[in-house]
Amino acid sequence: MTDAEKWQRDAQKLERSSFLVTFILIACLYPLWTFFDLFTAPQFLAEFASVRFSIAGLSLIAFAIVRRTQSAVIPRIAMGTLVTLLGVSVAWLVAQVPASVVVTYTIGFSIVFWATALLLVWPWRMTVVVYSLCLIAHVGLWVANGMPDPRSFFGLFWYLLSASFIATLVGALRRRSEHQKHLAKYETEKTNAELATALATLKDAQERFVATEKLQALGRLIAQLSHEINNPMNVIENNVGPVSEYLAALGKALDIARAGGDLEAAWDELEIDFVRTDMQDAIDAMATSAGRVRAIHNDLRAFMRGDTALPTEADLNDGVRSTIAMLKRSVGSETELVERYGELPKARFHIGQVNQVTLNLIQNALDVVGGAGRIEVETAHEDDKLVLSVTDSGPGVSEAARRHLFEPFFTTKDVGKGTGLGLATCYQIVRAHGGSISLDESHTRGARFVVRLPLAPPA
Amino acid sequence: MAGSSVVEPVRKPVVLIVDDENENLRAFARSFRKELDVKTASSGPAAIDMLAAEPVDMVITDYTMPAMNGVQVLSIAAEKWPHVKRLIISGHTDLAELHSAHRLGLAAELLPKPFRKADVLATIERLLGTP
Repeated sequence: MTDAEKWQRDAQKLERSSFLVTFILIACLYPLWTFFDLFTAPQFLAEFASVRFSIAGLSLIAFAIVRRTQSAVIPRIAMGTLVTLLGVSVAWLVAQVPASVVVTYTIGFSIVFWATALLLVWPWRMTVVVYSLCLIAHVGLWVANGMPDPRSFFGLFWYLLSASFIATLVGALRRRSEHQKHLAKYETEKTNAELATALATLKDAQERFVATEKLQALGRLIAQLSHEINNPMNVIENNVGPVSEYLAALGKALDIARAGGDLEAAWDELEIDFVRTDMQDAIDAMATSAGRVRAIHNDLRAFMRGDTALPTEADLNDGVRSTIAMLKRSVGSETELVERYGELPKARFHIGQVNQVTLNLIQNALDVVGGAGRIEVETAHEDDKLVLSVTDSGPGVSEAARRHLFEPFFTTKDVGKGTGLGLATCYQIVRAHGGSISLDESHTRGARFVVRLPLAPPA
Repeated sequence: MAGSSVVEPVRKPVVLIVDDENENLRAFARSFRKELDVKTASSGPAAIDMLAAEPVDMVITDYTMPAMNGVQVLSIAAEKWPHVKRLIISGHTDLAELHSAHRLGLAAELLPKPFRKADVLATIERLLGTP
């Protein structure tokens, strides 16, 4: 249970106990008041008791209703007055109380009673105001009755004192309840503020994920490309030595010819026939290798070209083609990579980011098929959306994994093989474009990821 | 006997080079044709066939190859022809599998790719003990 909930509960408890205290105290005061009547007006004992109990009985019912309805103050006063008048009428019928008694005691009593009841919902400061008014009213009534018996004035005064005592107690309880409510509110606000901070931190972290993932993806790509470059580099390095030897042999032959030496004798020793054919082969091999390095460079440039800060008008097919061109070399001969390009209109998007989505999805598919299988990459135009789908012939996605697919750090790959940020990043990028990415649930053999992008990103 | 020495033609070490890229094989053969008797195989299974068919002093294999990778080639070679020295070449010298192959003695050395001819010759010389 949080602090806020605890305080909220305490406040409710205090609220309940404040009502309870009111009723208990009033119940205790009744016999006391009756006892007091013995001294002030022993001749009206039965009448007083019947007036009090009928008012109190009806008032208790009204009291309960007031509490339950939580209505505004004015309707409560109106209802209270109505109930009191009803009580007076009942008492009148039961005991035929003299009019002076009814006027002096029951009205005063009902004011005190209802003032106390209303104090349960009014602010604490109202106590002073209400009881001052009650006192003035009672003095006024006593004077208006021709100041009959001083004891009847003190009788009323006694009511006021006891009611003040109740109100003081109830007020104290209410103040504590208010304090607890305030604490609860403060705690809730504090929790909300903490949540807001946590949310901001999370958002910030997510943005960092995307940046990290981008570096990871680039790192992986660079590792693949460096391997791609190694082979042609190796060929070039291994051919440079022989070519310079061949050149030396040819130079030597030229020197002999110029000096009028026995070129025929040196011909075989210098392997001139072999040198002539093999040098051309070596140079061709170097040229081919240089061409391979250049092709890698061109693909990399095409892939990186779209990495702009703002969305630009671009062709999704171009992006997919350049991404596949770069990945294709590391695809083994037993993996079939099928490309199908639909007729697409130009659209506005971050081509560099969308290329990263394509790259991640195809890399995942390559990892899943594990060197042998089939991967289909398809683009299409549906309504006002560009659709990119990557389908693999791997084992598919388990029911358990489906629920977490796009969460950061979720991975089904071995430790150290996957960061768990690939699909999370795809999700971030696609969402930022106002699009969607999902696993095609209807596809049963392998996995099929579908990305839908609007023709223009949200403003 | 002085003067009558007929220089024995020094037998060049027979080295089998395994790589799935033909250009690499040809470049290697070209580069080492004077120092080594270079045999080539363009896949793991082809290399095993060649080891079975001809006497070979050393096998040098690329790591990344389809069907059978370099470590798999060397483990078969180590089992069947333990006298044949074994070397592995890779562009990814940080791969754990290569290091464990080295540790287990499957490969006497790891050579980075691209390699320098002088480094390869020095390694061969050290392993075969011939100039």
